[in-house]
Amino acid sequence: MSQSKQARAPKILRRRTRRDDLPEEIVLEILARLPVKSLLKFRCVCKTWYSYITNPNFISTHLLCYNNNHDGGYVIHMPKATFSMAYFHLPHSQICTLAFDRTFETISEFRIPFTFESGYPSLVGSCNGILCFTDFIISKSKDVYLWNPSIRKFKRLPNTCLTQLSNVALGFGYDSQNNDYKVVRFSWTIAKPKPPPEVEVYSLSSDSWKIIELGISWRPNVLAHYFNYTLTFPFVIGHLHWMIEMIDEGGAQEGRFTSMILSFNVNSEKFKELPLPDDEGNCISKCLTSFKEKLALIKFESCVPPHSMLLCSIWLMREYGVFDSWNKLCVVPVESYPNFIGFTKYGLLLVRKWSQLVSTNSELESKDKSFLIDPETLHEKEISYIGNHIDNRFDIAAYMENLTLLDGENLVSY
Amino acid sequence: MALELKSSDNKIFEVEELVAVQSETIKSLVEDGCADNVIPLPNVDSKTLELVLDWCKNHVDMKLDEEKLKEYEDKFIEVDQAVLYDLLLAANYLNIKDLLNRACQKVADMLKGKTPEQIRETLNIVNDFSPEEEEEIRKENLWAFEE
Repeated sequence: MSQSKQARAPKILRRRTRRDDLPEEIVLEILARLPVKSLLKFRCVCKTWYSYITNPNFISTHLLCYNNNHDGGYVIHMPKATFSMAYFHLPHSQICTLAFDRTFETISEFRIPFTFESGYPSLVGSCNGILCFTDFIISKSKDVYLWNPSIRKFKRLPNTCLTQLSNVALGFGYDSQNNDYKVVRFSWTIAKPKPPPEVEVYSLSSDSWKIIELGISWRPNVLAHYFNYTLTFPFVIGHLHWMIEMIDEGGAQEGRFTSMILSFNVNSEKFKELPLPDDEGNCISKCLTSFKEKLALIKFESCVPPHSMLLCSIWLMREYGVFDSWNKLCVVPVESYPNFIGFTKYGLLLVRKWSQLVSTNSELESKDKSFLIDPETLHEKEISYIGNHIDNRFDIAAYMENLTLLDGENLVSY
Repeated sequence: MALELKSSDNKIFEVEELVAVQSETIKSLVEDGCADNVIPLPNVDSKTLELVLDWCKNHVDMKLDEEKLKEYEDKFIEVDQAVLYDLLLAANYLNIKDLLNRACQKVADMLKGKTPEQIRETLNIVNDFSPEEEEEIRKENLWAFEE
């Protein structure tokens, strides 16, 4: 807003004309502080206001201005499908919960407004409150949706431009340089040894997919690869990240995986490999997530029997891209993968625990409890239980007031 | 050092430089060496200028006491609509960021729950949509109008 002031004649010399007219720059400052629900209504005030509100520059100004001016934010909990759910054709509730991001107190509930062929959604990622979903069953995941719950609009992305879709992996990120949202899709052939994947990128501003080069050297003789879907693939410091664990011909005989962190710069659309920390420990699997806007690596190891817990070592890459900056933050025990929910925006770890209590009529009851753990001190705090007993697993994403998807092709309002 | 500011109704205010330069506009004039004589502010009347200068003075005095400052700001901004608009325009003209921010937020809070028709009335805006065009926009997001 202040940039335009320098180009104009000195304020002291200009007189205001009509008494009742607020100058454009003030109207924009006021609009930027309004919730999206008001802005949706105020589009019909007049044509000028309509064009202010739908302008992409205003949309990004509003996103920053509105969400920064409020103390504490909101999160959405979305029920996560599981393989056993799909195998036994159990119903998926489709109900998401909106809650405060510090206390997790529920505010409201709403349904996921679109469905997938398999009946099970999978969250690809979230950026600035925009959610990206695909089908949980990877072989059926040709449908990708972008959803903005704050303005109740969603959009199905156009069809792929790849030759075939198999063994698909996706990522969702925000290009801050061009104010654009992008979806990345990999597809691997079934052939062995596996060649590098085909990759395509979708850009919201062009509403189209385009094929891009992987551009990095691929491991030879890869027989199989594996993604850990415990947590959504993180978008951190303008980059999307995937942890790929691969078995090559040599490793197959020894039962050995090699791991690779693939990072994608959403602005430049270039891939590179990031180094993993130098920890030789034997772990069952690893996955990536974000911790206070830094890249974090979680290693899951099993406890010494008879305990059946998982030990999660949390590593943090303190300086992005720098191998030496990998630092082990802490080790936290969890009961199983679904009980490791993820980090809140304040850097606390949300976990669930089963506990058995003796109730008032002396019966043994088992109950799910949710805890927030501070990774620096390992101090735990119980919070009100999230979700319901039907949905065992869930994803959390930040809820933000955002006008993205207000205008465009193939948008559905509900 | 003291500066002299003249309101649109020709009233002269003597203010300390430290207080007056909270206004980026006045600050630029001082830095350009144009502040030796009385500085005319033809777009701010004396009533508004007095309020603005009170804001500026308190921001200098209470700079280190965040709680006291917040209490002051909350009380300051509880004014009627006409005064609020004058403050808004003055803060914009004089480029006083924190006052502009606070005043815009207050106006936003006031406008939040209004209908488009009420907005037009309050801000004196002419509706240039046809009834059909307006209806189409409403239909697109009916829930925003109804809930």
